[in-house]
Amino acid sequence: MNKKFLTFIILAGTLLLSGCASRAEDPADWPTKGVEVKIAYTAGGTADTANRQLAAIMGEDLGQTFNLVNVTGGSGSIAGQQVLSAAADGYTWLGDVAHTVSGFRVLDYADMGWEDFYGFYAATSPYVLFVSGNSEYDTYDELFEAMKADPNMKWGNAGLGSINQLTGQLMVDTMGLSGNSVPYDGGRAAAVKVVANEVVWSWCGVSDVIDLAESGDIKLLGVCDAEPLTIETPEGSYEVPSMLDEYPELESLQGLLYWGFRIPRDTPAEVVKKIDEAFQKAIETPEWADFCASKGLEPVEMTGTESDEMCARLESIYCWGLYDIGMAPKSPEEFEIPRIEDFEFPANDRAAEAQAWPE
Amino acid sequence: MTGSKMQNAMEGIVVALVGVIFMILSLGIQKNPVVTQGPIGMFVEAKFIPFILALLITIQGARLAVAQYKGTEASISDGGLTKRAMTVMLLTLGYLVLVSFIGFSIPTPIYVAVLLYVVNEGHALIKILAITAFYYVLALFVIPILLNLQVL
Amino acid sequence: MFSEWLYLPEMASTFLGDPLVWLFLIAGVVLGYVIGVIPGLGPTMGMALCLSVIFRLEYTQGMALLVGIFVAACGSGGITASLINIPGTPAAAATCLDGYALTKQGRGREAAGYSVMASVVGTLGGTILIFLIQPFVTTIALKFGDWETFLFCLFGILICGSIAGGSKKKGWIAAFVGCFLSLVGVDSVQSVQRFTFGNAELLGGFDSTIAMLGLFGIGEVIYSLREPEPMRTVANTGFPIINVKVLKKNIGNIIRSVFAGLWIGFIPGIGESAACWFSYDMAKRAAKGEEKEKFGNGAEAGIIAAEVADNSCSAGALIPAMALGIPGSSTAAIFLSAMYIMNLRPGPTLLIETPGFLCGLCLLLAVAAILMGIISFVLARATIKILSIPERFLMPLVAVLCAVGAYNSTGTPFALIQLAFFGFLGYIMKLRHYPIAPFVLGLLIGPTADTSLRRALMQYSDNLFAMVGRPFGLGLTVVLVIFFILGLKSDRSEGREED
Repeated sequence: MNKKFLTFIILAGTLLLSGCASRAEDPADWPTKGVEVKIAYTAGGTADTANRQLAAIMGEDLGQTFNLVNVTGGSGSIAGQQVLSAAADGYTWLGDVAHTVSGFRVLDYADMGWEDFYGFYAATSPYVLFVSGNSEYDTYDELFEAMKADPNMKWGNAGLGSINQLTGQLMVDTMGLSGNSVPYDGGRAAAVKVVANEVVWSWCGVSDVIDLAESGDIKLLGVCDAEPLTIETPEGSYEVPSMLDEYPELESLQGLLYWGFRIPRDTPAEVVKKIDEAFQKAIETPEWADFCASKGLEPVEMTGTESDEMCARLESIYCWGLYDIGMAPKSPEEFEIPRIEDFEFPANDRAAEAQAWPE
Repeated sequence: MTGSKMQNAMEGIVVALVGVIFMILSLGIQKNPVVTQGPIGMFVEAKFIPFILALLITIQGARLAVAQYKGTEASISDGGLTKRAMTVMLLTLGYLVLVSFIGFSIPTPIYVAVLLYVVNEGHALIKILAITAFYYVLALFVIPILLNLQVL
Repeated sequence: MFSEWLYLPEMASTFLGDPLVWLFLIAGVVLGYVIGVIPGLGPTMGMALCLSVIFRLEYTQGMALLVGIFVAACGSGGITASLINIPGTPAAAATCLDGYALTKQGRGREAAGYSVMASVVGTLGGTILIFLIQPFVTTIALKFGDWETFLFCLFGILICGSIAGGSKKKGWIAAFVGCFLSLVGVDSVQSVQRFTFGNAELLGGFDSTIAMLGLFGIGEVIYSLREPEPMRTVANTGFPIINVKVLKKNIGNIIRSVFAGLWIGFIPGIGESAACWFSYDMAKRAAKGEEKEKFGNGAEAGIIAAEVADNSCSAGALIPAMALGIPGSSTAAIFLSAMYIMNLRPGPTLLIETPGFLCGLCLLLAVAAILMGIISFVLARATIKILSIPERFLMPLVAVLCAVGAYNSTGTPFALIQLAFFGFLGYIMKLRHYPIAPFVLGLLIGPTADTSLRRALMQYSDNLFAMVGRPFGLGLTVVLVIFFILGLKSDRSEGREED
């Protein structure tokens, strides 16, 4: 009897202890502990490094440690699910690219979209078209000529269904060309294959490959942006011309890559405001400017309705892109997502009814 | 004895059946969205390699069944059916499933205490309780705090 | 290129002249040792932990901490593997086979000794090779494409039948099932869902760390507690016993394992958890007669091969990470993240922008290896004592730690369901004498084999001859064919011996 009683006491004691461990927190005190950022992409990519840098700056400002983990898989839906199922208390963020959560519904991975988050975007970078450093092509026109002559020319992409692949394919289609698209694990992996001469060219955000350009391992032929780029290599610097001058039809591929983080939309308003404040401060620091300069990124400050609208646009491009190449089992029509040509904001009821940003 | 020969072969048969189930599941995988033209197309399908693996499993399972039937391979069961073995297994697996639903704090002390009780055959109860408390603190407080792990 | 080596003296004073660097190195090694020894916690976790600390430090100190944890965590898993048949880190899984066999014979301290020494030698060997090879590595890395990767995976699958002794048929079944299960989730080539049954949790497939925790950890917990009699003799505890004579006898083995481990670490997608198995298998094939019989029953050569390869592999995985900015394993990925935090840019510009970095890194690795040897030796005494606690008291704690470790691998409750599933599977496999090694190998290289084959085919869809004719690939194919023939021959002669 004694022993049974003792057991009961100890069990009761431990239950009490564990009960004490969980306490509800007052949003006005945020942050009282460290933040966990789940990055939906692999280490080393722009989403990863940008979030790590941002977290380092914000962490110092807020006086808390940021713990960043890479949770890849399911095109980011796994990380997205994890963030949404964690408590919406401002301590679990999703580190990703602006289009990331928009494809899940049509891909049939999860019932989730940009309206389930508040998105904070801190940097952007244009697409570049590049070939190997020792390639015979020196301008994008030369490459296009060669592609007309060889409709099966191999090009590398960041993976079927990735935004790089979709926009690359869109670029090819817009130009009336064709090629044999080989999928790899991310923009950087595809770039390495270009260096290895396994594929002739590739197309991704310049931030993922800027160091390969600067070492001369790849040659940037054109940038999909109004401004040309200047690249410094050991052999001297060269200018990467804007492709939009000659091919204005490629304008729709401009301004598609934004990096930052998201928090669940039902996070309390005070917490959202504090995060926004810390975010604005971080963007304006010289450390952020230096980081962006070293990676070929341009700092931006995109929050609020502006962020929502940008995400909605990307949703249209991304979802219809996926559907048109056959990767999406469900049609965007089912979710009232318009094609980009018919885009207006808000595009549907879901967007209109999304919780507003706190004032 | 045919009876026990068949019993011996059951393991191989089960494996072969698992292989067949895997083959059926593999065929259910959707076709590639972006189809590669030409004869290579079949090998690039997402269902190709799982199907081949399932086929190999079925073949090996059948070979195993035959060998076990003939007696050239043994069908071993290292004492997994005793009461104690089943209890330990169910306790441990049950603990893990329970934690996935309600977290670590409650199931852990219960699991540790009961398991210690079972495998120590009811001796040294006070020691068991002390160890339970110690393990609870160590595994759910000390180590997580040291390594910044999420537990409770 | 050679100019990089000239920075060695300068880097020696920059890195090793700073007492804080030594402090962080030692702290890292101690922390890494503890993490490596406890099953459920691995080097990735430890390194991720120090990421939040690193950005406040000078980059030399940050690197010291990181390298300390990295080296020690990779190196100390073998001690636990030997003493309780549960690897402290997934990369130490092969050490279980012979290390635990030695422990069952009452020779646990020797097993721990071999593990420690082999880990030190493996790290040192790997470091020397990195130092010599790094400036040239980009060329090789670029020539190794998808077809070659596939051939290598095929090699791994070919050895699965015989890798851990016992019934070959069961070995193959284990390997194929492991491969099959590894393909659950969204495929990486075209994002096709495989075997997910609409379950969002399965989109990422099974986590290999959790799978190994389940198979080796939970499986062993249940297996060792199922019977009242203890499985091992509790021998005298004390310091690990270092047997230098045996090490000298194994010089060939050691050199081969260092190269094997490094090479495997180099190939992205294979990872350090597989390196120990390849090396173990090669050592087994190279052994003759009586030595060969010992494998699985306490062959020192087996422990040495596994531990040397596991450590040199971790070092090897750093090479492509630094040269191209692409992580080949999860530990290399964390290493990369850390480098970015310290404002280093892995990739072709690394040695241009931060000349001398390679020297500094290799110095740290070498010193960490030696420190690990000393600290492991000292701490192993207490470790052996703790791990010699009878299973009936120790295993419940191990189970809880495995659960904690699994949960922290992904942060989702589903991790525990996976753990239970693989724990059950591991238990059944142990009961029915299915070797777990091939299953694990299949699980680890399945996705890479699948992806690389299909990508290679997609690339060369119009010209298969060009694919097969790739120089590296051709060489590998020849090796594979020879291997296959030799394997068939030895099967036949084994069969004749048994008659």
